[in-house]
Amino acid sequence: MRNSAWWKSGFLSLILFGFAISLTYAQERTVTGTVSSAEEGPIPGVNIVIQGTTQGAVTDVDGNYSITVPGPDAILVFSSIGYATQSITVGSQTTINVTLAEELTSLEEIVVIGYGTQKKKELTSAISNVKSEEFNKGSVNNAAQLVQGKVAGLSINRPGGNPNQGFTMRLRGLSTIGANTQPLVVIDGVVGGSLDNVDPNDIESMDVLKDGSAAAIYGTRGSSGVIIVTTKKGRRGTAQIDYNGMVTVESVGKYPNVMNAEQWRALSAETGTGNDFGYSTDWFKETTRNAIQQTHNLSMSGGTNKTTYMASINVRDGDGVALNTGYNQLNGRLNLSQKALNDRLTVDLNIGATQRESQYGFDEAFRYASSYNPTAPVRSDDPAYDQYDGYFQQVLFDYYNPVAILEQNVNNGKDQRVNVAIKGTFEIIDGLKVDAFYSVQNQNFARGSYRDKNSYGTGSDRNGLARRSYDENSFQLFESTINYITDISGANLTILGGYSYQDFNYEGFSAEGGDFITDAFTYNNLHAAGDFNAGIGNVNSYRNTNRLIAFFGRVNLNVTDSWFLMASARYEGSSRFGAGNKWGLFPAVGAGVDLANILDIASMDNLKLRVSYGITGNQPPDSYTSLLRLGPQGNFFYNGGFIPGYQPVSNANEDLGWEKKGEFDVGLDFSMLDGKLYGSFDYYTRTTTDLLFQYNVPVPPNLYNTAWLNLGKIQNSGLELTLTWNAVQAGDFSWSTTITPTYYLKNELVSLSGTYKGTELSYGTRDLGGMGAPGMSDVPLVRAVEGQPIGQLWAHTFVEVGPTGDLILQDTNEDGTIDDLDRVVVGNGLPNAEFGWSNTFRYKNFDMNVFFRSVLGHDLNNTYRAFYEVPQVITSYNLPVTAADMRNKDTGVLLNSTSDVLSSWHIENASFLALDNMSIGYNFDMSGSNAFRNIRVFVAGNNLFYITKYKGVDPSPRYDDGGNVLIPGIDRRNTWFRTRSVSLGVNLGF
Amino acid sequence: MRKSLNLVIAMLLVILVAAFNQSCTNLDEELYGEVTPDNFFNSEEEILAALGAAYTQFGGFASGTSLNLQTITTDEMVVPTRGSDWDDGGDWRRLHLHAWTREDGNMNGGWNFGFGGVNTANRLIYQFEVLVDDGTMDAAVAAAFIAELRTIRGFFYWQLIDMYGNVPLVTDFATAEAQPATVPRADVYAWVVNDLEEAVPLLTKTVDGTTYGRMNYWAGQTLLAKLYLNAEVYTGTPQYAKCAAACTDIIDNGGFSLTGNYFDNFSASNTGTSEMIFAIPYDQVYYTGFSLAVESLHYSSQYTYNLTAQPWNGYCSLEEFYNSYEDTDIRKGDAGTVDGPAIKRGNFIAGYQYNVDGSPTMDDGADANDPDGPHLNFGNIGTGEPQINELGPQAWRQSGVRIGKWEIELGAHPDNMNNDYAVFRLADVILMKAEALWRQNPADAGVLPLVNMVRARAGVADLTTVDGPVSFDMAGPVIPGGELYNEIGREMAFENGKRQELIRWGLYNDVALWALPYNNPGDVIVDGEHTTLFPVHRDKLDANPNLEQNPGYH
Repeated sequence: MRNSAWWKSGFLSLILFGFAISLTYAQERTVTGTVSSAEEGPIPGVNIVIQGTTQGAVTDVDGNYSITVPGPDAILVFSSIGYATQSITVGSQTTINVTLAEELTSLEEIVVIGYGTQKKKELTSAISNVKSEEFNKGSVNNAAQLVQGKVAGLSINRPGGNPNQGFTMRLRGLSTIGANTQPLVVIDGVVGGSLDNVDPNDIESMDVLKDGSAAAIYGTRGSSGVIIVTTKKGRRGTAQIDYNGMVTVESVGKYPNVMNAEQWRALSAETGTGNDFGYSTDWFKETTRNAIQQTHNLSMSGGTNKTTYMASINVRDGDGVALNTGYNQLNGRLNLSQKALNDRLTVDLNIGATQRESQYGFDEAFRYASSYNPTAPVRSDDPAYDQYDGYFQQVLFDYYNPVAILEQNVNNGKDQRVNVAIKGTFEIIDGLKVDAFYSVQNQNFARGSYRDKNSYGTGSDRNGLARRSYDENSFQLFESTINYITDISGANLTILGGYSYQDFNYEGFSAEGGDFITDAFTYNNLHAAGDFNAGIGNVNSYRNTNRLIAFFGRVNLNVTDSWFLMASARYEGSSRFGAGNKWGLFPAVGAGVDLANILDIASMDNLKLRVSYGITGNQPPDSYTSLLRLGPQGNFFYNGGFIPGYQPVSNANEDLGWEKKGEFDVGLDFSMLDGKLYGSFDYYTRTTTDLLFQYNVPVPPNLYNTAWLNLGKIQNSGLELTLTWNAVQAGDFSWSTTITPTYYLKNELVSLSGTYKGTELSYGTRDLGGMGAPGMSDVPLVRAVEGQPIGQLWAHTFVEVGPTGDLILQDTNEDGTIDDLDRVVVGNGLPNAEFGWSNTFRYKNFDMNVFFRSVLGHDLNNTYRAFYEVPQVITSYNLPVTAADMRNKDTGVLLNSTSDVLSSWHIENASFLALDNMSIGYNFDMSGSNAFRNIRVFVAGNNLFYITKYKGVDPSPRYDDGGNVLIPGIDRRNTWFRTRSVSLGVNLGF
Repeated sequence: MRKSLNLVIAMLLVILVAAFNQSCTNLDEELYGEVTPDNFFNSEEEILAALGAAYTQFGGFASGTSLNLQTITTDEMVVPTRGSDWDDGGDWRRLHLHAWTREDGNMNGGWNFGFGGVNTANRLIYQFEVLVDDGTMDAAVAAAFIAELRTIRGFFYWQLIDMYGNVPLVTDFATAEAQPATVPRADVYAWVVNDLEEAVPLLTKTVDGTTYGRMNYWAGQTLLAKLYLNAEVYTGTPQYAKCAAACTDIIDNGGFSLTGNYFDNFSASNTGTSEMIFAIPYDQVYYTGFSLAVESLHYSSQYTYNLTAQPWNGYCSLEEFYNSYEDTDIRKGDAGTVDGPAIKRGNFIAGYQYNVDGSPTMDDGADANDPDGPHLNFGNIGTGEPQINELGPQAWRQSGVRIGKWEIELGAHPDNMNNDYAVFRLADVILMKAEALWRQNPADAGVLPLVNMVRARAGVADLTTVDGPVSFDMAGPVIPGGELYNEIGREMAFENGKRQELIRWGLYNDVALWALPYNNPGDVIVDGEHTTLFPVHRDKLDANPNLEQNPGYH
């Protein structure tokens, strides 16, 4: 923070600027009236909101209302389910009576699509829109978390409660293995924007482009889906300040079920092994805590006829449940829009900036807290432990005092993210607009870690070890589009054309060195590291760039609000490809018909059948993969000294080109019972071909033993349903419920074979991954087989503990010996189904949200149990309580094996249902207040309970193992414990 | 007014677009921290750096796969399964019991080591030829480099035919087939030996700093001697006379001499001893990869040597092999006792261990009932216990004497040791000559003096016969050359020659005689002539349908 004076002063200016504008308007008064419908007379329960605010009122049983408005420019928005929303500018009136027309509201919703917007009823593809009022409530610190479980087909997961860890997102399963698996994020037009640079409080809505035809306008990066984020904007005629504040207490939701000292002693006595140090230590209590977090959001927004603005500042400060972990984050945003030239020119300026300081701590502390001897003390006065600063330590393999790890060492980071975007839109003639958009995003990541000289392990081995790194990634984006809307004999036609240029730059620097005289410097004085004089310090730097250039266009046709057609194409090139194959074409078509209109089905308000097909792409994750490069590989002794040896580190592949995914989607949107029940159903099937993958290739003829190639094929298909029922709407009480189930029908690795330069590359069957040390280095985790589902967990079949304590495994191939050939598929790491179920209740001034989330059908390899559910291992480690149950059913003899063997016993069904979040709020009646527009207080809880059979700490799916997406379903021992949190908050509107 | 306004706006947009237009559709990659052949090979230093790639491939020879395949499969070394440590799906036990399968990672590793070297040599020969053709490189310099590369290629082919027997023969980069077929062992041998016989005479005979760590003439001759010595195994046709002749050439004309102190060749500052013919110049900074200490020592040994990383408690030597040394043999060294640490260093680290400050090195994993006891004692020397109670799964943590042949420096990086590693050294050549003479004529008077020359340095009495029982079966029959077998084992311990030796003596299938007790369900000893070759790993078979699996393997 000290070094960011520019940053602070910039934001102070923004805040002052915001105040200056907002001070101009402050002429509050009260407006009253009655709302009725032509057919049914006065309507109770109509929502009246001052546009651009959350300030509002509700009509009583006689349809009467009263509301305080800030001034004559205020616009009142009257809305109620089943009626057309009406907006009225207050002007000089003090009584406003309104007649609402019946209408199907959900269909009129505006949905953000790529490079434009569309009415929901006109959509021909699968797009889900989530508005801020539907977002997840409570302790939400990451934009992705807002829509977790809210969109059928979009998986968002973060195993464990690490506040500094991001969420893994996956849309409609895995459709690529060598390229990007996460959806593309577009924030206010910034393609590739960072979700970490937008505060959850500032988001107005999120739109998820799910199928190929919707995403194809983003062509090359659309294969894993697109999430469009729209931030809050100021509204004409309002001026308001909002404050949202929240305090959260987070605690560990589940610890691993390990032995306490008493249980440990009992088993130790039975096995006759293990050292009892005479203490009784709860290592979980020693390493974790209840963590307090606070969140503050202050925003001001408003506008005149020419200018609208929204400025906000967000402070997030919190601890993690592990000792010495946490973060503090400051984010600011300014969205400014100015009209000129008779309102034909609009200039939009968006600035977002974030600074985050993080204490990451050390994930392995969780693992050692589980495996450390519960009879050992945390600290000891014995002089033998002086060398470890008095922490108790034992010299064993993979065994470190977890409290010492967290207390002696530091692991910090500082991230800075800035995004500036400016856009000019000019309406040349009515219906014809051109725009130019320019944006720069810059992200800096500073990291520093230090292992203390007396920290047993890496720290003491290296006599103190410091590491520092700076990484920067940035891009600039220029886009220009032309948009024309016209009516031709009853049909509405929208035409879009555009050009896009984006270049990316990645660079960084890091240094690591040990051997310090003092711990005083931590990572701030690498010059003091003796390692550099000894030649064993590490220094590294890099830079790489890439570019994407595209031309795109789209035509939308709406014939009599009954027939809808869409066709689009993007022609895009990437610098990352081979010289002769840089460009790709990504077309899409879609059609929809409203059967309710055409067939005149009275019971349905809307019944739209839509069919679409689109092709999207993916590029390699790194630059220069199509080039033959040389790199230093070791040294060579020459004339008494060493010189580096240079050799190829990649193969040239001038044919390297786009991975392509074709997706067919058929959907049905429906609305019935006057909009009380509505939803969408989708079936999709997607096939990825020319799969980008780093293959092993023969040397010769190739110079290097791997190459990035386009071979292989993956297929996915699934069903999605989104169903909303406005179940109760009776007087003071309402209940609305939405369920979003997804069913994955197929996720198949069809092929990973092909021909490259005349060489047949056959993938066949591969055993992937390794359990790791101790003792299971070569034990594979997953079997990948062409023509079979992705994510097959591979292990021996557990039979029982035999009468004499022998581990009995299935002799699958009946050859009389138990060996590698007896392993079988014992589960699958990828889920079969997921759903979210949200409920919104209102009673008088109370509101309540209850949101359940469920992931079903996935298995997890509980590596913690696989390593430690072995009674004899008590010699060196603490064990799960269940280790004492590893005995023969009849004889009671304990498992006598000293080796850990991965078997089906450790592969668990991890299906779960969680009460993901729940909140109860109370809205104070502010109709008599001049000072406040609204006051709401709330209490919210997150991850309140899980129903699952999984014995590990978190049943969330694991989508990859060390970045390899072909190895899902592995729960590693370093996982943070699951947490639950309770928050208290207030929303104030001025 | 409106029209002109539109015009201004349109022009502004055009200007904006134009600002980007210069790169509007340009997708060439720009490189910053990387090089391609287009901007490399511009200087002599860069060309030399390319040659260096052929030598970096040797880095995997002294520890890792080569060591695993050539020694853990013999009576010299073992990696017991100590509780849950070193189980690793049974890989290590299978190596020792000859029960390996085509799935085992080491089978892939040996192949990659061999063909990595062959392919790098072929590629560089090709690249230097191209550089000569386009005028970048001097033809005479290139010719010397190419002879050197052919010899390096010969070395890696020797490793391949030794381990796998029948392998593809790829001799030219430009015309190489992507999926070359398996060639019979004898044919590969014939081609390689012929190529070496042409190339080696072209190599420099200079022995000094400029050729240290490089394939000079003497290194090439030693390589040929190795091939000739094993020719009967590889081809069925003995070449012992050629072997003896090559050895004589080296001994008489190379200017090498046995060092006075055996351990000078294995110290951390052993660069360029008078005995080294071809060495890998390992260095903790510049030439990393010699990791025997981390593989062998106990966790707590970190405090015996103040190591910068915790060792893994793996590789150790077998009791009979340790006992095959006389106690006075300086190569054996002392064992630590309850009274203090070992005084004389040896090929082994044995007995009680002590920290730098003189305090006992403690095994924190030991508990009251643990037969090992808390004071770290390698091989349970002096306690009357066996050296290793079993192969696994319940071998004791401290069991087995450890490998100490290469000096472990105080404060060493146990995973990146500083000691140079002699691939070829004079004592080996002397013993090779003795064996070659003995195989041609067991009564040859030249045999014993050669063997005794090596023994004299070790401080042990002259042999009067080379016959005797072999070290892993001392109660067994007297075998012709048995004592020669033992002597080569003692001198060349852990230098990757033991498996070849067992095979030459026809003893490789006596595995049951040196296998430790084993008690893991599914573990079996496999004996059979086919085990003298390793199987081709499944990955290799999958990638190349023209490869043939070796007989006896699926």
